[in-house]
Amino acid sequence: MNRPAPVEISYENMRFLITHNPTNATLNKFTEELKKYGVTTLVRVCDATYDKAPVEKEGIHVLDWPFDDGAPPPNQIVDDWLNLLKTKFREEPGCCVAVHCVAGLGRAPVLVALALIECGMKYEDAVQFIRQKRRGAFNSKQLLYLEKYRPKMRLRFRDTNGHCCVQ
Amino acid sequence: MAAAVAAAGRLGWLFAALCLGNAAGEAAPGPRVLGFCLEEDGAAGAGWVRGGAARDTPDATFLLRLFGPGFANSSWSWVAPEGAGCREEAASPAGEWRALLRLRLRAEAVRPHSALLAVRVEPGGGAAEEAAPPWALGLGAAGLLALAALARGLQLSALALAPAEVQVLRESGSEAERAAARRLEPARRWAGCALGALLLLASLAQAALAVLLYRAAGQRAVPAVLGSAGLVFLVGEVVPAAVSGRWTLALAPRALGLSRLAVLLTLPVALPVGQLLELAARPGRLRERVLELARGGGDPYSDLSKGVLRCRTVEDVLTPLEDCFMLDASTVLDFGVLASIMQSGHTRIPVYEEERSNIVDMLYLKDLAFVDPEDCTPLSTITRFYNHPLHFVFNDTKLDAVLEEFKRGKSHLAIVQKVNNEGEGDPFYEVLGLVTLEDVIEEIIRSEILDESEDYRDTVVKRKPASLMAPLKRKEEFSLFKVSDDEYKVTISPQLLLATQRFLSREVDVFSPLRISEKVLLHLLKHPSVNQEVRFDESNRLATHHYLYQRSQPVDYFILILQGRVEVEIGKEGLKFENGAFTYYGVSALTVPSSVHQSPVSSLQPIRHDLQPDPGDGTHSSAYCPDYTVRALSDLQLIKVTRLQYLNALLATRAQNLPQSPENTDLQVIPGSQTRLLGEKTTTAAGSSHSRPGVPVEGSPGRNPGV
Repeated sequence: MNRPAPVEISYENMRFLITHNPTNATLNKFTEELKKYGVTTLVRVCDATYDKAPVEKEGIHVLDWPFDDGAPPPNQIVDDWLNLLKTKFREEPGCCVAVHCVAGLGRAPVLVALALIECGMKYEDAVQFIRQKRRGAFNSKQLLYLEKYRPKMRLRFRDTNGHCCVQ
Repeated sequence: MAAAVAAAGRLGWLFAALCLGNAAGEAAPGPRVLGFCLEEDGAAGAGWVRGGAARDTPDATFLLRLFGPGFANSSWSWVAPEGAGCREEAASPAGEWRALLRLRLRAEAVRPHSALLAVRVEPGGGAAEEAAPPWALGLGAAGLLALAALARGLQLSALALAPAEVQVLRESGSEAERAAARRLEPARRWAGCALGALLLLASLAQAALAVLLYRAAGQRAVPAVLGSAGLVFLVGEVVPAAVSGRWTLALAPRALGLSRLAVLLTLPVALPVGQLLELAARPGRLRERVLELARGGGDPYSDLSKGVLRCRTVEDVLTPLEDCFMLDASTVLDFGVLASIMQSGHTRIPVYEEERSNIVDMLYLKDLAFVDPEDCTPLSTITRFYNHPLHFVFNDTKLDAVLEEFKRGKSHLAIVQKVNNEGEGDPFYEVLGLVTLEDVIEEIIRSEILDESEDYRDTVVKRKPASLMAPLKRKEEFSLFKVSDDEYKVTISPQLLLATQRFLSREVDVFSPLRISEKVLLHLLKHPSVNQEVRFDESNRLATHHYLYQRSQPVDYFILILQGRVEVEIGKEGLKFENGAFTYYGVSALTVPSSVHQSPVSSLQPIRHDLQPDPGDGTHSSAYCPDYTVRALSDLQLIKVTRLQYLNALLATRAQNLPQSPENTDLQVIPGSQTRLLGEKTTTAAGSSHSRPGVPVEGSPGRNPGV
């Protein structure tokens, strides 16, 4: 398995960094990448295979929200993810949230796609948008989940957007 | 005028009455006097002459005309119907009517004196009309045909080549073709006008020809049409096409003047028509387009490059991952690793972590310039320092796109990956292999590129970078090994060498340190001709080169099997058994010279004396004939020492021992002790085999200080 380099996905006032799963040996290099993109929060959606202490020592908050490989995210994680984004992008405009699974082609892109859909983007556009940067992202189950997903917090993000404008 | 016409009419009627009167006069001889009255006018002379000529034929009738010259004319007209024998028929009046008409004209002419001229001219005009037509018609037809043919010929020759074709001839043709093309090129600018002019002239000529033939054919349509079509087809179309097609370049330049003349003659019409033709020159454009395509096809590499590279992907030409030479990121750069890197012949080596499909770094051969194998530098130290970027391409990337990226200098090696979306898990990128600039170039030229490192091995060996048989590795290994004579190198080849040396020193008497020093033995084992291998041919098990020894075949060499298996057949009963590594044969082939050398050891000076006879002794001594057969059963790696090499090793050992004498002298000042030492050696050498085991114990401590 080849682990591709991190890619940044920006949309409106949101910035995401989809990365691969580092190892303890490559953790230093990985941390440098995060800092280069201005990451303040790192979400792990795969099993923890490295010590997160060196990352948090650099001021990056690490959250562990693992779910099954190749599966869509559970509702609880979706809610936590969207709440995290709302809080982060309101309080720290211009910051970046990193999310990674093992290869950065399945679970991590799904969370980013959910954020884009909640922000008003269509399902097809969100998939296309992410696949331009991360070719081959999503498997069939994840695509089906995104297709069936019903956005519920569209209004809140528009308020957030308006709020940012006011600021 | 009206009065004149009326008068003429009346005269006509008068003449008609006179004719009737004359007819009545025939019955009465008296009216002849009236004829004589006409002769008085003087014009009767001419009539008389004609009448005379007519008189020769019918005597009675023409005599009557003679009396009246005016009546002679009327009689002449009257005679025609009579000749037809239709006096009683209705047709006669028609003829008479015509005669009367002519008579009127003549009557009008007769009265003036110029009437005679009119009478003469009328027959002469008929003759001219009959004579002129053949000449005029022929010349006219020929001229018109020539004009039509010329116009068509000019069109076919001067305008046959499109401007692009003229350019090709000017650039790539022969000398004559280039000159013709240069002269033709200006004409291409007004080709439209020339075309219009030539077409117009051809049309006019053909139309005039048709009219002319109509008159020549007596105003009959069918002959005129067929004749005109036939002549125009053959002379006006076929002949110009044939001539122009054969001598286009020869005729076209010379015809430019005529083309210009044609344009000048028809300028008012040719100019606008030419403009229209230029605008509607679709056929010419099509020919230029075809010419461009044909010209493009003339470059084979361009065609191959574009065609091949666009329709093939990197997946078609990549080197599979299992065939790539790669290093683990946790590797330590010791002697063995560096030797294998050198042996691989690659200048760019991927570095993987945990599994070969996880390539994390790229090592360049030049990165190892300052690496000392004795330092055992971790590979990660080098890769982290240089940190070369990795270049990935997807498996469906076209070769032309990859070539463009290589040309930019990003890298000359790309890692090929593809999306693996099978199974239940997340998708991931699967590495398929590597593609290099050399692979792309080989695809363009459809040929394999061999460089220096590929001269020593074939494709099979190339896929086994760790092969021990590679000459390059052996050469490099020996060089490095000489620099650091470390017996504890944990690599196969140096270890195998040391193991071989120790085995021979301890197990084979002829190689014991007493005869050959360890250092000389090591050098002997490093010699390329001593290290040999036998390739086993499965399809020909009894091949000659499989036999190391054959019964009763004289040989002069000793063999030690290092790797592989052999079959040994021994004794008259033909007993067979298999043997493997570290079995040796042919010791006796080296023993005889050794026994010869035992006697020279008796004294220093006799040794020098015996050096010369040694070859003689070798020549005279009988060769060794084995009583067994040794045949290979698999690929073999072996040590093969000939008698000559063995003798050289003995001499080298002795040469090494000679400098020790001065050292011994330094140790013991008394010259007598030197003689005593030599005496001791003589005693030891001459001693029985029973006393030999004890000598090494004494000899080794003595030799160590010397070493």
